[in-house]
Amino acid sequence: MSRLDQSGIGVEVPPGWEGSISAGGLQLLADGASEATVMHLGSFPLPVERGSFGSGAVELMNHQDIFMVLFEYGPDSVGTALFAEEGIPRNLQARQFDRNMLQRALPGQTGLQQFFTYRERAFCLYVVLGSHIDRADLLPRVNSVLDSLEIQ
Amino acid sequence: MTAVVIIEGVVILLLAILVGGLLKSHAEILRQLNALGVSEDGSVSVGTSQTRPKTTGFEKAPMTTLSGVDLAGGSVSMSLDHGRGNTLLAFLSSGCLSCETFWDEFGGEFDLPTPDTRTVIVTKGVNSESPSKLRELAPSKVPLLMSDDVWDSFRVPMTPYFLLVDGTGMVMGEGAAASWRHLLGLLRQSAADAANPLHLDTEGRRQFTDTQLRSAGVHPGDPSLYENPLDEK
Repeated sequence: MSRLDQSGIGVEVPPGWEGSISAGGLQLLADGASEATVMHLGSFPLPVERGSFGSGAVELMNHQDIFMVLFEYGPDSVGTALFAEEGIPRNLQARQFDRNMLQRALPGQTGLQQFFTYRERAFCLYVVLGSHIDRADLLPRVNSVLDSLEIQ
Repeated sequence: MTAVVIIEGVVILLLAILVGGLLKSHAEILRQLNALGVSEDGSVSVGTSQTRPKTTGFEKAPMTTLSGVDLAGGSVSMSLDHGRGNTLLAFLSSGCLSCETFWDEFGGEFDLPTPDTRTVIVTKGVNSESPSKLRELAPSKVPLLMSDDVWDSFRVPMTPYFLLVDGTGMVMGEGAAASWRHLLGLLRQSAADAANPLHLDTEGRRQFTDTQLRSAGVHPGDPSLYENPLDEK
C-alpha cells in the first residue's frame, strides 16, 4: 500500500489502485480563476487525460470498480450553506448512493456527492461505484480509503 | 624531399594513433553494450539484465506500486498489478540523445505489438531531472512519472530502457533499445517468450503456471485442480 501526500491532503492507496493529488493548492491563475486541488483514486488504471470529476476515467470502469474524487473549492465557499456539513465523510452507507448523483450517467453505475468543510477548507467528495446493485459490496473498500484520508 | 618524407611519416603516425584510438573506443562501446544485453547488430536481449541478479526470466517486478510526482508537481501512485493488460515502462531522460526518438514516437499516434498495453514514462526525480525540459518533451497522452525510487528499484542501467510488465506485476521482458524498431522487436519477443515458458527453468515455469492460473481465477486449493480429467463424461 502506498500513500499520497500533497497540498495538505494525505491518503493510503490500496494495492492495485492508482491515484493522484494535484499540486493546485488553489493557486490564482492569470484570468482570476483558481486552480483547485483535486484528489483522484481509482481501483483501475487511470487514464492520463481525465476531467476533475472523472470524465474519461469512469467510462473505463467495470462493475467492480470504484472511482473517488476529493475536489477543493475556494475559501469563499467556506461558511456557505452548501458546505455547511462539518468533517470528513466516513462510513458511507449504501442508501446514500443514487444514479442521479452521477456527473456522467453511465449504465449500471451509481454515485454520491457530499459537500463539506474541514479545517476552514471546503470540499466535495464524489464517489462513483461501478454497480448500483452491488454498492453494498463495494462500500467497504470506499470506507477503508476514507478512514485513511487526512486533511491538514 | 627529406622534409616531405618526414612530414608524411608524422602524418601516417598520427593517423595510426587516431585509428587505434577509434578502434579501442569502439571495442569499449561494444563491450559495454554487450554487458547490457545489446548485440552488435542492435538487437536487444530479453529477460533480466545482467546488471540485475538473474533469476527466472519471468519474475515479479521489483515494485508493483510506482510512486512519484507528475510534471505539475502533483503526487502520483500507479499500479503494475491492476489485473488489466500490460504496462510498458519506458525509462527515459531529457538529456539522452538516444531517447529523442522515443519522446517523438510517444508524442504521436503509436501502436505497440502487444495488445492492451499501457505505456508509462518514468524519469528520475526532480532533483536529477529538468522538469522544464521534460515539459517540452513529454507527450500529452502518455503518463509521466518522476521518481528516483522507481529508477533505483528497477536498477535501470541506461537510457532508454524498457520493461514490459503483465497485469499481475510479472516482468515479461526488458532491455535497452536504440531505436523504435528495436523496441517493437523487444516487445514482440517478450510477448512470444511469455506465451511459451519452455525457456524458463523449473522455478520460472512454476511461477508462470501460477500466474496463468491466477489470471484465470484458479487459486490455490481450487477444487478444479484436483479433478481427474478422465472422470469427465
